[in-house]
Amino acid sequence: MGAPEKSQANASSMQRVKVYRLNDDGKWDDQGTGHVTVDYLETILITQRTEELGLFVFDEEDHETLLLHRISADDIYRKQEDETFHGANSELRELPGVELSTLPLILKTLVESGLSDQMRLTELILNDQEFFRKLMELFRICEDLENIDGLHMIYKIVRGIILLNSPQIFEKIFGDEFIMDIIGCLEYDPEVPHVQHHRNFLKEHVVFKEAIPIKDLPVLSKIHQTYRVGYLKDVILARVLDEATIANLNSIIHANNALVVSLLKDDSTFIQELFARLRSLSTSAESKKNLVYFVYEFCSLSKSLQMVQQLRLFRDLMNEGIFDIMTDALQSQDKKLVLTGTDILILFLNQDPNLLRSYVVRQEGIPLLGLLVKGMLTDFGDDMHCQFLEILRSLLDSFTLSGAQRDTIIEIFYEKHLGQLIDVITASCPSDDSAQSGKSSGSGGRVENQNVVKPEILSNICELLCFCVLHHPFRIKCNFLLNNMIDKVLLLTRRREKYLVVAAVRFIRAILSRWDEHLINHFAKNNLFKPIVDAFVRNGNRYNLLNSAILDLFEFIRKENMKSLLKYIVDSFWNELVKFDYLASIHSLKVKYEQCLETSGARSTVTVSEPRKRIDERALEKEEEDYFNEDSDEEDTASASMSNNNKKGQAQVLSNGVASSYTPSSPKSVGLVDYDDDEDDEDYKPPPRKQPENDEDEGTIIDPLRLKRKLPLKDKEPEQGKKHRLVKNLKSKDIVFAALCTTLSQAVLPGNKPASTVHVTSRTADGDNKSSGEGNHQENEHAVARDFPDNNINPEENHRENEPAASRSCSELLHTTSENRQLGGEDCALIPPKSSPEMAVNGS
Amino acid sequence: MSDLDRQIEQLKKCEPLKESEVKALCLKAMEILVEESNVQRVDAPVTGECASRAWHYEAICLYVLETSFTQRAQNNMFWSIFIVVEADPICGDIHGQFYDMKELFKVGGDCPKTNYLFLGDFVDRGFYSVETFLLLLALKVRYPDRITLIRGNHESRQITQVYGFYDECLRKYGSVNVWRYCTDIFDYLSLSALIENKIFGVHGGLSPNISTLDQIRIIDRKQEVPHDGAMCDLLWSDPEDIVDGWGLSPRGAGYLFGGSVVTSFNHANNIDYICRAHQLVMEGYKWMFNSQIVTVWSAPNYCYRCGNVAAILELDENLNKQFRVFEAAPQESRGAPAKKPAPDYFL
Repeated sequence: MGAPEKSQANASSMQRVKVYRLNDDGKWDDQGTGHVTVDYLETILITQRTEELGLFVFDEEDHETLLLHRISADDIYRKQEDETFHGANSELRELPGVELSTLPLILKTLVESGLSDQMRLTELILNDQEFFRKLMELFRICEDLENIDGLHMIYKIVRGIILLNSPQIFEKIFGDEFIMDIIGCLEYDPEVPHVQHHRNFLKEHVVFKEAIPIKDLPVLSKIHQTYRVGYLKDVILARVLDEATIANLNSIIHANNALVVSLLKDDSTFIQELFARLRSLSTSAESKKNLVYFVYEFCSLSKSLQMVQQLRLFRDLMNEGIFDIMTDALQSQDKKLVLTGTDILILFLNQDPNLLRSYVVRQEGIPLLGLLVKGMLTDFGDDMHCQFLEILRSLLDSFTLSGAQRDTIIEIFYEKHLGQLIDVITASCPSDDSAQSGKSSGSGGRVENQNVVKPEILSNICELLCFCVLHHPFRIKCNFLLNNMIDKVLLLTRRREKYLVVAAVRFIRAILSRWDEHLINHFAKNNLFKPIVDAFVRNGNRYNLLNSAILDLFEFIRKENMKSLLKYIVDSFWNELVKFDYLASIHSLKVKYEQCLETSGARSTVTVSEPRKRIDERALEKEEEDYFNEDSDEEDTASASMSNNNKKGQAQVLSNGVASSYTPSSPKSVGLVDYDDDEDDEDYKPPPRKQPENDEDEGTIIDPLRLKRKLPLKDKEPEQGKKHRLVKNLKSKDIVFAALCTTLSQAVLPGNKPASTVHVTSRTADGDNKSSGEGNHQENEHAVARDFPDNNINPEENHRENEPAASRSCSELLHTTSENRQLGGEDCALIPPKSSPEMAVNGS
Repeated sequence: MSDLDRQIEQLKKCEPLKESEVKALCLKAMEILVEESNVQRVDAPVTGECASRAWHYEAICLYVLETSFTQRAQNNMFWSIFIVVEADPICGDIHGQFYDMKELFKVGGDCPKTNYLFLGDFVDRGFYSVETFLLLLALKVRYPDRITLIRGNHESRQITQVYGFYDECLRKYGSVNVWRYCTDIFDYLSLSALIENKIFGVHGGLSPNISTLDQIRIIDRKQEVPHDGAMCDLLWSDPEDIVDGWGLSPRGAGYLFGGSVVTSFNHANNIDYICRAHQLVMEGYKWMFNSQIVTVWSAPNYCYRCGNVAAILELDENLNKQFRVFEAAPQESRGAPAKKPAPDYFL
């Protein structure tokens, strides 16, 4: 027959409806779900040859006719009273009365109504004053009678009502009158095999703590409501709620928190009592602890307030003396209390860092800084305690701060606590025979000689030190030079934990990125690269993070053309490094070294050094300008505040004076900004995307530029490649073998032979690249062309020939650029290039 | 059952770990990750040699043959089936879509039995970044050789503060300590992977500063993702049809690179193709530049609204490719498990 097929075909375009029929008992029977259509009756009932229109509902599954209704112009609406017909557009007129018998209908209405009906339904529920009272009554009856079917039904109804997500309904059902019963209803989830005991949990197990009794009843009621709504959201209906409902529940909680905090903070007697008890000597330790926990909740809930109000609250709390109380809390034996104290401090820092800073610089605030340092060095067992490092960083941050406050904090920190940190490192690193281990830094802080400091604490110390290097370049310089602190930090390279060795390497990298010649020369003078090279050699051929970090360090030295370091490293450690010559970075370090000797040998010292000097002078002016514009605050005020102080202070001023007229010779620094920022990540400044972004053509411009800048580097690549390429061809498994070969050949054939054999292989490799590579084509061609003359003279020989002249001129060069002869490269220049590491040590 | 195994079970139910457990896990992970190289080498599946894989095939045999284990063991059929199934997946972005990642594991096989390579972007955007990352990290600590995690551009302090992971940690733990530990771990993650010397896996793409894999070696990766330079580019760049050579990226970091760049990189490094993630593709995967580079995307219905399917790329011992496409987890299987309620409250 045509009709059902037709209806089927059109099913998607037709209204989906539910059909109920009133039975003799006055209940509504569900007839099923189907699609509604209007058609001539004759198409169905062929026998009746009428032209009347009829309304049909066909079951959506089996296409049976669920409903046939003859449409007549007169009585259609009256007739509808007989047959309730819910279509998506039909009007939902009234709620069925709440009785056990109507529960199924209520449920169906709830669950199966469309969006427009849901709004209507919400309205009906809200208009019916008795609805919830009756529903809850029914619930209690069902619970008394243990009518599980009824309880399951009520569960579904309540869940359905919550999912209507109406703020007005929430207001009603989360009020004191209904909320516990509502939660009761939700204990009977038919899909969960066991009845849940949420009410019992809320009544018996959850403890509402009152650090200070809250007398305001509406406030109390809001507090309880907030907890219960949160519990309902996170526990009872966690798997049920949709995003929109969760958002609405969250905003209820948010609004409640704002109200509660706001009412309490404006209650001056409450705040006064709070602080009186916190201060009082007669308050027991236990209740003090609770008071601090309360303060934490109070402060953290204040996030729900408006910004201005929140700030005002925190200022008020500070004026009431909250930081004194935190100082007390941080001295507690109870670790949880200490951590809660730091959490409160972090809340203050997030709000306005200057609040805590202004406290710490005051006389009464000084102990707090000490406690924070101590906390950072304390083992908190399983607990995380990153807060200490975080707070210290914020207090010592010189980028976001200005003025005397900052300088005072920094001053106190360096005076009292830096040594403390270093002592922890020296105490927890194996102190070998070596010359580096030494006298204590002689500073104030006393640290128990515990050799069992947790590695993560050492790692935090190292991180803070890196932070200091970036933020207080001058202060750190003075301290590092005077107290041999770099040696001590480098003790970390002896630790078993590789990430600590890596941390030490990064620390060195941070120092070098300051481009401070005093410090750079300090490295050579004190043979500070020995522990790093040792760590590198110890790590062997493993390609891991340590390997990469040290190669990066060498690469940096080479690219930045730090000649004195380059010379020191190759002169002192080449015997050890030579077995890593297959690595491009190691190889090019040597090449750079040779170039350095070569250029200074080939050209006269004068012509080389003079233009350099001029550049330096030009740079100096600009730098001085920038320096005073940018970073001068710190030093000016620092020296001012210190001048009345002590000898140490004077030394500081002196060294600063030198430093300010003493500038890095890096060519980069001509257009000086904080160039090391680019490499470093310690600060979380938003990514200020560099210029390329602004200019669309930049993309094409910048690339040749980059290439050009890279060309001198690329030149050497085939040479660098040597063993390195050989190794690559051999594949990873063979790396060890290749390296072994290298070492063997080194041992068996002294002198230049290993190098030249490798040259042969490298040339063929380059030849391949040349013929087939596309992108690298040009570079390679260029490179290969350069490769030949180089190959004619063995680099080793080349080196030796130029050696005397080169080393002399190189050192002279260093001297002319360096303005401080005492700390200049003199010593290292005296070391013959082929000297052994031992000699280098003795030489310094 | 060890603590770690228990934690993995717990995380598989999408229940986050305690702070103290996260701390211990991160410290262990650090020791493992510090030993990895910037170009982490991954082997193709080794057929039939590994005992711990047996149960994986066992499960598949049951489906295929419906005979008992002992029977098959006796008949030696057990072994014959291995070859068919052995394939290790490479997966793209996950973005905290925990339940969809569980679908991924259903499609690809359970972790210790199948080797996984994840190309980064574990966190942000989805609702379960914490659980997603911790599960992957726990698997890494438990089975270091069976799962490789490399870094995506979202494994960064700056990015996670904007796109959700930071807030999620704060919400779920009440403090940002867990975020701090996790972001510290991000710094240790490797930057790329090389499968059997033939397939280069990286999150974003290539860099004008990198023409050979060896140049990646000298990156000190233990740092926040920088704003430019090689490390940044590897995590941020995108291949682009209309670009010849290098172009500016609309993302504000990394570059766009064209087919010629890929050709010369692949040739110079003797690799077959590059497998990367980083860009949503509606079909789950997409080849470009004459099959020299493929994008794999593993977050179905991205952000719970994009309507895309997801894919993983499975490679067998001969590096034969098979893409397995999957859809988002059905609604029923979602939803956060109940949180443990705080036992007391002041306010």
